[in-house]
Amino acid sequence: MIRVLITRKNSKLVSISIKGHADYEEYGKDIVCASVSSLVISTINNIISIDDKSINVIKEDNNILINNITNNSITNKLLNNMIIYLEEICSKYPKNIKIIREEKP
Amino acid sequence: MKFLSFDIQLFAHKKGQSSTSNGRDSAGRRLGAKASDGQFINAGSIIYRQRGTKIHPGTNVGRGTDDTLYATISGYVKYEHMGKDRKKVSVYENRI
Repeated sequence: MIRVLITRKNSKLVSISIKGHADYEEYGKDIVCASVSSLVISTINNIISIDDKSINVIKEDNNILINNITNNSITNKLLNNMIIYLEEICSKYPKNIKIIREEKP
Repeated sequence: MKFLSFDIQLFAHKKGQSSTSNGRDSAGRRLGAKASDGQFINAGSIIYRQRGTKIHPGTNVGRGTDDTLYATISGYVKYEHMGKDRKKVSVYENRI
């Protein structure tokens, strides 16, 4: 199961962590993994192309941590857009992806 | 900051790493003959463990609830034919 941890502080988006395996199908046929991978990677690359200082990305195998550094509006829009579609995927494949929301004091 | 490479199977099990829900099996039941033809056995000894009646009980042989065949007297084991294509096992006091 892919686990998405969305961390906010005073309702501002601080970081998004995406890790795990979708386990929907074997390698090469896993459509849930493909949709999540495409969504996450394209969002990250879009943000980098616009303002590569606004986020910091740490990637290890199938763990990605996106730290929202400058909190600028375009970056927030793109990240929130990604979250909406991750939630959409989660609603259709609840056994393969789980979203956890965390509010930091 | 560098662009990420577009790996659309990023969150999938890597090749050969896929989990499978198979891979379970129960322990072998050690069925089959426990006493051979011509062997002397005591009353109550198990002759043949089976599922269903691969071999039928003959003279002086009982059948347990799990179709296990056992001797009802002490004697010599004899595997015999029964009809055209069936087998039975008997126990006789004297060797035949």
